[in-house]
Amino acid sequence: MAKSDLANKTARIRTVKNILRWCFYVVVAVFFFFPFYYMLTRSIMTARQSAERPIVLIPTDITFGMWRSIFSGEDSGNSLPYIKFLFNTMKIVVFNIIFIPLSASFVAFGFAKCKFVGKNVLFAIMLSTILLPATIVQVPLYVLYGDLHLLNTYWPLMLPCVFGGGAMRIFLIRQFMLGIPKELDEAAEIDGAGYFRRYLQITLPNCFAVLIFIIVEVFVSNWGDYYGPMIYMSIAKEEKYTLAYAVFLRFQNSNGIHAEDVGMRAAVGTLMSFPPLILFFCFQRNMIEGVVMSGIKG
Amino acid sequence: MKISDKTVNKLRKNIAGYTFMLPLIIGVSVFSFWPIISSLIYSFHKYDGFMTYEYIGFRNYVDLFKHDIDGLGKVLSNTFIFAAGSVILSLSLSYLLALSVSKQSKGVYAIRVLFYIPCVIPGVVMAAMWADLLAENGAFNSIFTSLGLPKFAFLDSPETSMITLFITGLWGLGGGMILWLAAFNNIPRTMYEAAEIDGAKSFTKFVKITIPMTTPTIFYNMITGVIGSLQYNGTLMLAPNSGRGYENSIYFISVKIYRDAFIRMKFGYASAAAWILFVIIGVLVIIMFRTSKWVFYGEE
Repeated sequence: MAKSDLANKTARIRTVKNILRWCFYVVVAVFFFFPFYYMLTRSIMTARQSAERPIVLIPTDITFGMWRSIFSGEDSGNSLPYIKFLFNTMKIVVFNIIFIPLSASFVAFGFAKCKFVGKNVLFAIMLSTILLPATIVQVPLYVLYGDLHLLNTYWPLMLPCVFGGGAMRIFLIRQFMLGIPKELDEAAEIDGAGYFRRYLQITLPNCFAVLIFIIVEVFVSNWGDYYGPMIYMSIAKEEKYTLAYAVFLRFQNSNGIHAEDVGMRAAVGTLMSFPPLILFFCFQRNMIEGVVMSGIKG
Repeated sequence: MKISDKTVNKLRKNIAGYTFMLPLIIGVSVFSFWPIISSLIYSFHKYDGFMTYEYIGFRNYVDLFKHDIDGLGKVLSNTFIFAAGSVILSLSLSYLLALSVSKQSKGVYAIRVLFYIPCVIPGVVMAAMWADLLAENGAFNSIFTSLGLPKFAFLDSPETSMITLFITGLWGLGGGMILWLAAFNNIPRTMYEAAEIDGAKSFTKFVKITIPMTTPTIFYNMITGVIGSLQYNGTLMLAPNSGRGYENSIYFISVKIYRDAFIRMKFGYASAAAWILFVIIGVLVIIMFRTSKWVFYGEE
């Protein structure tokens, strides 16, 4: 009798604990989600309603005016051709998500599967570039791109990705490649496959999970990059702006809120958030496992 | 003279290896080595990117420390306060967040995904929204008023600006959380089981197993956190006064370097400031490695 009482008590404690835990989750989730929810609702609210105080949480006075002006590209001089900017961004992003995984995995294969003199030295040099502040290279690169007449084109935002795509990414793919069973590679070698074929036909297909992670991560970082365009495309024609740069210029640290602005800002922000969000949801397993791997190296 | 098969084979292996290294070698030379050396050279010149290019010795460095119009000391101390505060806060809070969702279950997985979402939303978008949320008459202050709380100045006052940056940083905790979860996952279950047999309570298990076993990740996150936060320039997007905050209260070194280089067009001067930042980061990383005895790499 006493025993089942005790069991009941522990069960009850566990239930209470669980309820408390989920309350905590809900509070934190609301906290994390609030800015996004605020943006989403403001993008379909009339200026009058979004200016109301206390703030309105559930939109009742709905308008699609902001969305319409984004997609038609015409508005009272208030709107910019955002859809055009979106396509500009896409050009840069597509180039990067193709070439970064390719070049990073190419170098990573060398580190993971080849033996050659000076490998460890090169590996250490590569890792040391992580310490370099981006600000230290940007002035000389600006001068270089200027000399090559590449300023105000997309090349400064695309060219570097052909050359390995950054130490962290190479490192991550190498870690993954080290985990692929050696036997696969050795069997192919015995069959007479050269290095290049082994890279393309054996190793690369087995790196699918980590490559997906890299692709999504590259997409997210290029998609939101306003800093690169700000430096290298500062005097480009407006029609060449990327979406992130346009959003930055239009809405940067504007103090004082103009009610009409809130809706437009929210609509453009929502538009810009959707592609990375959709990608993340499609590949969330890879994303979370990808980050999991980068945690292992510590 | 006959070259043995072995030598040929070795040579072939080396050629293959270096073929795979080619993109890296070009990339590091063009996008890292060459720019570092150039910026060191620029830093001893008066250089506006176009016409003027004149050797002035250490003048840029002397000017930075003595006559800088922004006050390099203030900018550096802002940067250090921000780096220290954001590294400590984000590491500890994301650790706690990860602990709270470390139990495996379907519902918890969905919660993890939810917590991670703010990390996927572009920074410029968040910054544009912060302007509305943090304004004097914005959403947060409206909520505070409804709850009977006083208004908070956020970025509108020099005293509250830094705190506001720490607050907005909370939305990025999901990124750290994922890394900690990975570290927790790598701890062998058997360690906890053994401790339970010895009658260890959950707090003891946390202090004696979880923390020591995650020290490599703590160390890694500290290093990347320090490097990243010393270079933080997100204020360009969200801080008033062109990214400097009122009374330069959140004016950071990377923003200063950007302004010196691309707004004031003083390339040599900006390069000197960038080198100062580089040296600071290098020294801090070396100190962190030298004092990393507390990191537990397992008994090998």
